[in-house]
Amino acid sequence: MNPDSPIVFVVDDDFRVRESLCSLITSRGLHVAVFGSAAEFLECEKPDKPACLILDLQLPGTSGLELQHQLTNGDAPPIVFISGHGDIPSSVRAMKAGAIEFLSKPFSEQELMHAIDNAITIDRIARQKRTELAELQRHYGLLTPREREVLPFVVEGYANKVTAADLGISEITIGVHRGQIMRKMAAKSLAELVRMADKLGIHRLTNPPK
Amino acid sequence: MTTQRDPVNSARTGLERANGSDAATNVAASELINILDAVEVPVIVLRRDSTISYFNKAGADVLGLSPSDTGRASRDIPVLAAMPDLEKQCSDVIAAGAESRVNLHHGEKWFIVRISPHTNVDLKVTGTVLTFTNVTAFHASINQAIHEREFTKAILNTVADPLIVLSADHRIQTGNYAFYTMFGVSRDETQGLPLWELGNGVLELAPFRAHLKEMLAVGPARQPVEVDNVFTVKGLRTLVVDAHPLSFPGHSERRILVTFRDVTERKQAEAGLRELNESLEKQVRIRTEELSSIIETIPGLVWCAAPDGELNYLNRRILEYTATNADDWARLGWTCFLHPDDVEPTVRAWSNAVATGQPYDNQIRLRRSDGVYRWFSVHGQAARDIDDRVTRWYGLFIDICDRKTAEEALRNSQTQLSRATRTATVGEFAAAIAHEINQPLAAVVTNGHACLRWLSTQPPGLAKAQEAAERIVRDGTEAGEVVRRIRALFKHAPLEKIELDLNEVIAEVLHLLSGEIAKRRVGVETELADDLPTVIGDRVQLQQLVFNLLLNGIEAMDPILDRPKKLSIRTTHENPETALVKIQDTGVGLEDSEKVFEAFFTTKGNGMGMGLAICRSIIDAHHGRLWAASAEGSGTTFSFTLPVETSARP
Repeated sequence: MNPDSPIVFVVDDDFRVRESLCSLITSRGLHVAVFGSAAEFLECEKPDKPACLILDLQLPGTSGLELQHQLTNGDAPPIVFISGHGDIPSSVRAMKAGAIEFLSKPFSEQELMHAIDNAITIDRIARQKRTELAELQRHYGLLTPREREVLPFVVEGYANKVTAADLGISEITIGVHRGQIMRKMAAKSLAELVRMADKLGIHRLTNPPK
Repeated sequence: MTTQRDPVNSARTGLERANGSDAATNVAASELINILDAVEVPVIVLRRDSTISYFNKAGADVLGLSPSDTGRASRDIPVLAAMPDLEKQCSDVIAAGAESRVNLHHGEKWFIVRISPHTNVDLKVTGTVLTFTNVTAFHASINQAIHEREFTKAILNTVADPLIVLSADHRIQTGNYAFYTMFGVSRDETQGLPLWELGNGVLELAPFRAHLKEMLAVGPARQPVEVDNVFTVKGLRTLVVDAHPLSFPGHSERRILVTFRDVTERKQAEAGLRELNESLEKQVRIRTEELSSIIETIPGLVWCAAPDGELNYLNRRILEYTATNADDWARLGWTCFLHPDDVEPTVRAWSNAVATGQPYDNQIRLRRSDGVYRWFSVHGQAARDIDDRVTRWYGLFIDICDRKTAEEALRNSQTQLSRATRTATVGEFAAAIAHEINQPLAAVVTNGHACLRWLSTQPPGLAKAQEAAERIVRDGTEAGEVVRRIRALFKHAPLEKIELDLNEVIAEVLHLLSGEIAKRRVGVETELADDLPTVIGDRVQLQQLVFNLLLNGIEAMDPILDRPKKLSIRTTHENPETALVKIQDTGVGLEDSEKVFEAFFTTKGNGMGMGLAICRSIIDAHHGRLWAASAEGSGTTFSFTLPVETSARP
């Protein structure tokens, strides 16, 4: 299995459930890590891989829903809840809080694997986005303060002349800044630079030049 | 020569006549005058008319006469004028021819003046001769003696104890002020009175008489005598009478000093003290007996131990309980009476308490005389002296066996209740099955999938498939076991309908919940109808019903912070066919008063939603009714009725 192959975390207080899930998921060629409680899971150091979390709703100590609340930071794996009770209010709450799937025990292999595949795909995409954004942020970090000042004018489509007048510097200097921005951001075209600025959430000009 | 014939001249004349020679006469006269002047006693010769005819040198020196005083009348001489009757006395002496004496105080001096007739050679009385004998020193010593006597008398009179002086024949000579006051007599009455007649003869005592006699004869004092006498002034007094011989140097006469000491007060005080002492002793004795009787009879087992932990006292209860005596304990050692399992921890705990002086608390089993071990709570406390050193250990065994049994019974009944919770209704049975079976079932399904999956891989993962299949067998068996256990549980609590007093059921459940009620600070009000008829039902199930409703009410008030949490329970008998129970809380109230009885409906974060559903099925099984009413902001009232036992109705 290659190092980028995904991993499935299982948190359930019942060892029988852990054993069977471990066996089934392994048979599908995925890595599995099992935990008996929320605390055990939180303590464990997670590998940097696409992942998903199969989480029992009724856990002793920190419950499944409580653990879900604690994992609200961006890089937590998507959650598939499993439960011994067909507890509708709890499942609604879990789904509203962003769970991928809610499975009642006992569940079929198809249901489980479908949920796992879904979750891992979602995590892959999320990880991809996080990587891209990090790369953009690294490039943006290379810009000088003046270049960051010029960037919004460029992506808004203002001519160098207008920008130069607004910022009180020469038109030639604006042209130099523009070239530097394109180079440092590794943008092949103005359209790409505009998308990049969008992803970085660069605000539009609050006082556009006349 | 003077015309008057002075005595000296007369003497001279007389001598002359006698000797018949003038020269010889003059010599004799001069000699005589010289002799008179050498005498230190003043001499004055007065004529019949009381004029001075002669005085000697001492007269001039001592009385201050001068030569010119010769011939002057005695009344004109100051020193003689100090004796106003002198002239008359002189006349008397002249007339009678016999001398007389008169006292004279002159300046600092005292004199006795002898007045004697002066005769001439013819034996004719011609005047008087005054001789002044100086008695000043004598006078002073007399005065001194009088002064000393008065002083002594004053001292004696200030002595508070009566004193008397007896003559050798036991007659009273004198007494002090205290004596006269005490006996109420005067000096005159008692002067010369025999001692024995004093005070109605109270002193007429043979030993006292013998005592005085012996004392007069031999001298040394003997033991004083104690007598009681009634006095007119002071009533009955007890006196100690003592006697001491008195003798005066140079006097043969012996006297006796008798002292009386009033010891009435002292004797009374002594008697009072004796009485007090006896009464205190009696009190201490009674108190000691009381305390010892308390310790012996209190329904506790009391023991004492030395600072080193050695048992040195056991009260009667301990000895009775073990049917032993103190010697048995001393011989066998206390550990012999403990349950064998308790010996080691008890010895350790006690040694630790003795070493540290900390209070000793323990629970042990102590063997009774019939061999039964009962539980006791043991408490030991060290008594300390002012230096904080342990002087003794005092301890108690308290029989807690019955309490322990009761606690056990309570736990059992709680277990029964919770068992009833699990087996009460079909709905709950289903929930129990879901709960207990779902986990192994889920594992079985997942393992089944895994097994298939391992078989279908290329090449087949046979070992993994076999493991999964083994787990299927294991978990499937366990699920079967769960079912068997649930069945057994269900059989264990058959519905048993008996006549029941609902008030009693409520009281039992309140007792079970008392801990919860106190913990959550809920005030409980009960208003239980005295005339509530009995109902027919299963005690455990009805307890469960009331338990669930009360707990539901208590939990509904958990969020209440702004008003008192109050749970009221009322039983009434308004309808002759039914008994009505109302349970009202001051909680948040209900949104839907019918939905609450549905299974899995809950408003509580940690509830299963089974409690009230169980209540409903219990009520249904008992042909009663259960409903809830909720008023905005005033909590919820759960009411249920149960049909009353018709045969019990009058």
